[in-house]
Amino acid sequence: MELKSMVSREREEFLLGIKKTIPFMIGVMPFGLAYGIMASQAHLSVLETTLMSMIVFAGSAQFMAIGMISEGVGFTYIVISTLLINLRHLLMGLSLSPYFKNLKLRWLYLLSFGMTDEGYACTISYYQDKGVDEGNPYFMLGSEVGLYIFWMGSSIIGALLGHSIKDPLSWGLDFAMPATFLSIIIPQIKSFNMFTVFLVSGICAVGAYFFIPGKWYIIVATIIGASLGTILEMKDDE
Amino acid sequence: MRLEYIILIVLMGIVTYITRVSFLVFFNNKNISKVLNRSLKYIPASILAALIFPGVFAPSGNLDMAITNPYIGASGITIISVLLSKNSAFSIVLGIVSLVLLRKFI
Repeated sequence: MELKSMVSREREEFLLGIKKTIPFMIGVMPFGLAYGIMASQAHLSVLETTLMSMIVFAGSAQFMAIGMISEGVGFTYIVISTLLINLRHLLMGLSLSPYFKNLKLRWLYLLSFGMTDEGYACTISYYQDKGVDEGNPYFMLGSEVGLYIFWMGSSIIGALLGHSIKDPLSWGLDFAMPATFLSIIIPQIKSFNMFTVFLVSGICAVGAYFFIPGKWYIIVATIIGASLGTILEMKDDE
Repeated sequence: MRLEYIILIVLMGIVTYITRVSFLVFFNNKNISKVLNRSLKYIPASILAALIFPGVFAPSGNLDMAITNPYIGASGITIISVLLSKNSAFSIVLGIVSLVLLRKFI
């Protein structure tokens, strides 16, 4: 009896993870399409385009790689750039780790593979909202599986569409990403401190975006924002 | 399938996985200091702000704080919609539609 209820609870969390990620799946689609189209224009085959989405599963790194491939940049440089672009995942992993402290390692190895910006945003906001000490890994798994399927599907469709669509981002779809992130973070801003952190990080990100190459602006802004939040909170305690 | 592309894709996959797995596993089961633990709470808002702001205020790579920047208007509409409707899918679609309209009419 107990086992049965545990299994149904796991399935519930898994399905909830999928359900809560639906807006993100919709948000991811135009980018998958655009990625597939760009890849086909950079003369990658449908199979190569799909394989990259299957194995790398990181939108901005894939976009950057395609751009570099069409510019004829060397592969070593592409791999190093991929590493740098994805350094922000370090901070995401760090902030998720307290929720998984009692989880088996193999769970962490599995969940790590699918940890994208969107899956992370959805999962951490769910755990924070629930106010739990331990996050249910099935929720994150559901969120990741949903995004993975949509990313894969839209990449393949984009690759197949190939040259027939010239500029998919001109239809306002380039706003899909900021809009999805706004829709997840706005309800999370419940305190003055959080609002200040959000605003200051954003301003720092814009500033750093102009002066620092690559995606370092995300890391710089995150470290400044998180430090500021900690300082504000310690001031409140005094 | 060209072998050099397969190698590139696998290497990209490996470095991506390393960035995702290392801190999640490394800080697991370890005592994270109190200060660090506090700052973790603010990481999501900071990361998301860093992902949102440049796309809105510098959509084409140049700073554009003018009222004619349709991304700012569309963001405002998205935020109001999230606050009022509490429906994220609806707000995203509304945001995209308003961006297209703002772009047309401004």
